[in-house]
This record gives sequence, structure tokens and C-alpha cells, in this order.
Amino acid sequence: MTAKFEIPSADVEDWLGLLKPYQRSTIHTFLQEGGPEEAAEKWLSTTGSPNIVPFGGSQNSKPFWDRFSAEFRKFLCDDEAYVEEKKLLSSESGVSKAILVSTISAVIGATIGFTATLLAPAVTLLLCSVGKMGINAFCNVDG
Amino acid sequence: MNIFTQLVYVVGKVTPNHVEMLGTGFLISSNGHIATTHHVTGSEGANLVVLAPHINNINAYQDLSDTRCQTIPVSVQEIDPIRDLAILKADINFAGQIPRIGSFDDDNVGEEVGIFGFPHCVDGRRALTFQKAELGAKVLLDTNGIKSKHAVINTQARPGQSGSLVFSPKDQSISGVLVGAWVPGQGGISLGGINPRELHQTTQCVSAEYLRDML
Repeated sequence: MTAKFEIPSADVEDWLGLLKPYQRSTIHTFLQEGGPEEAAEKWLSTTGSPNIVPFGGSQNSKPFWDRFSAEFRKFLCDDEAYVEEKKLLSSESGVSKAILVSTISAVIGATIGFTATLLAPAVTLLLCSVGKMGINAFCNVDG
Repeated sequence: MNIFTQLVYVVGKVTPNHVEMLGTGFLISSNGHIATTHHVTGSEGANLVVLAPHINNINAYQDLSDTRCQTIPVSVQEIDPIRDLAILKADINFAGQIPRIGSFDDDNVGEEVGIFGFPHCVDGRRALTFQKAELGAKVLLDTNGIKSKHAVINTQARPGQSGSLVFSPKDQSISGVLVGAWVPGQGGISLGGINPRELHQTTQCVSAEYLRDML
């Protein structure tokens, strides 16, 4: 079962055009080394240099790529999940890529407890991938 | 110097019982944008605050037994996980002069920089502290294949100072943001809560120019 809204099939540059220049520049570099999913994981799994001990923060930040990617799949593939949010996306004709990214980032961020601004580049990359393969194909592949 | 008492804040998180102090942040726009590090804010973003300035005069004695504070809610506006930077937004309108955002490009090795932050705030100690240090080296640090401009400043930093404002007196500008201590692989041992590998005078700061791209 899949979501009823459409994810446009667009060139990666079209999707990355939604991001701020500092995000786009980093993602471009990541995409030279791997695919969109790897780039998204790198973005979400990094906090500065691994050789610098931080002098602040809660020190309990956990890697959350698995939680994020599972929730992203749930959003797209589980008909019982996020019903109202998906209704909003499907009720507007020709919903823009920017609205897709901001809505999905905000909704998933609220669910897993992470800030939408951090998730947005990862959501953009994954939507780009799904847009190319189609939601049905994405949902038929084991996550 | 007194202007920095109004520009530099403790970044904290409201918990059911108190405000957990996480590190330092500083104002970079008159309408409430505050720079700090990503590791200070974490990725969650909920219940973050800054503590309103508690002194007007840098020479005032700061009463460490006074735990009262006024919190100002903030939201996370931008995160650059590669440079370990974050920009927060608070409902603050500041009428004073904020130093411009500069870069370590404008500073020379051997020149003096000033650091404003809250060392030990993570242990409950709130004292805006000024330090001077020489800029010891300019380095490029690689994070996941992306090299970023950093500076080594010749001073020892302690927990709570992440997000501190690094100021260039020569240019009257913000040169960088303090991010931590060089400890390859972040390894080491804890002796009474202190990792001896952190105890050195090569503190790492990221160039402030990356903040401009985030605004």
C-alpha cells in the first residue's frame, strides 16, 4: 500500500535547488562519493570533526539515521500512518517540491523528535530518489 | 568590552526541574539570530533557551551562588553538521552595535584574539569569562571529505565554552566560533570526569565566515 500523493520525477539539481547554498554545497560533495541515500546518511550522521572533543551539549546525541529512514518509509508506504498529513499533500493539485520537503521534514521531525531544518536536506535527497523510481517501487523494496 | 555582556549568552535546555546549561552562543543580528555549535544545541531542538544577560558591566562581580535566570525561548533556524554550527532565533531586538562577521582569513598567526564564553557552565557555573590567546595556526579540517577553515588558538578551553565568540581586536570582527579540543578519535580516559587528552593549549575554532552562508 502506498501514499496517494505524487512525488515528481525531477533532476537532482532541481531538488537541490530547494536547499540553502551551504547545504547544497555539502550535498554536492557527498554526491560525488555516493548516491542520494548515502549522502543523506552522511548529512544526518555528522557533527563536526571526529577528532574534536566538544565542550558543551548534552553528550547524549544518538545516531538516528535508522529511525529517520524507517519513519520516512512509514510516511510513504504505510496507509495507516500520517493519514491527515498525506491528505493535505494529495488534496492540493500539483503540490510543489518545496511543500513536500517542508511538510515531510516537519512531520517526521515532530514524530522522532528532531529539528526539521536538519532533516530537510536528507528528505530532499530521499524524495529525489523516490521520485525517480516511483513510490510503488520504493515501497516494494524491503527497507 | 561591556557590549559583550549583552551579546554572549548561555544556551540551555528547560527541563522539568531546572535549566540545563549546554554551552555558549552569541548574537549575530539585531533581530535575534544567535550563533553556537551544533553539538551544543543537539539535533532535537525542543525546549532550547538562552539566558538573558545577567550583568551590564564586564567588571561586575558575578555572584556564582545566584541561580536565578531569565530564559528566552529559541528555535533552531539552521544547522551545518559539517562545520558543527547552528543558528538559533530568539525574540530579541538589539539596538547596539554588533561586530561584523569576519573570518580567520583576516587574522595572522601570532595575533591576539579574545574569547567570550561560559567555561564550566555545563557544571552549573555561570560566569561570562574573557580570555586572550594568540592565534597559533590556521588549519583545514576534513569532515566527510569537506575541508573547513579552522584556527588553533593557544589556550586551554573547558566544557561550556563550545560556541564561544572568538573576537579579532584588530578588525573589530567576529573571527570564529570555539568548537573544542583536538583529540584524535575522541579517545582517552576519564580521571575524576576529566580526560587528560583534552588538557592542552590547542583549542579548535571554526571560521565565522560559514555563519554568513547560513543567514
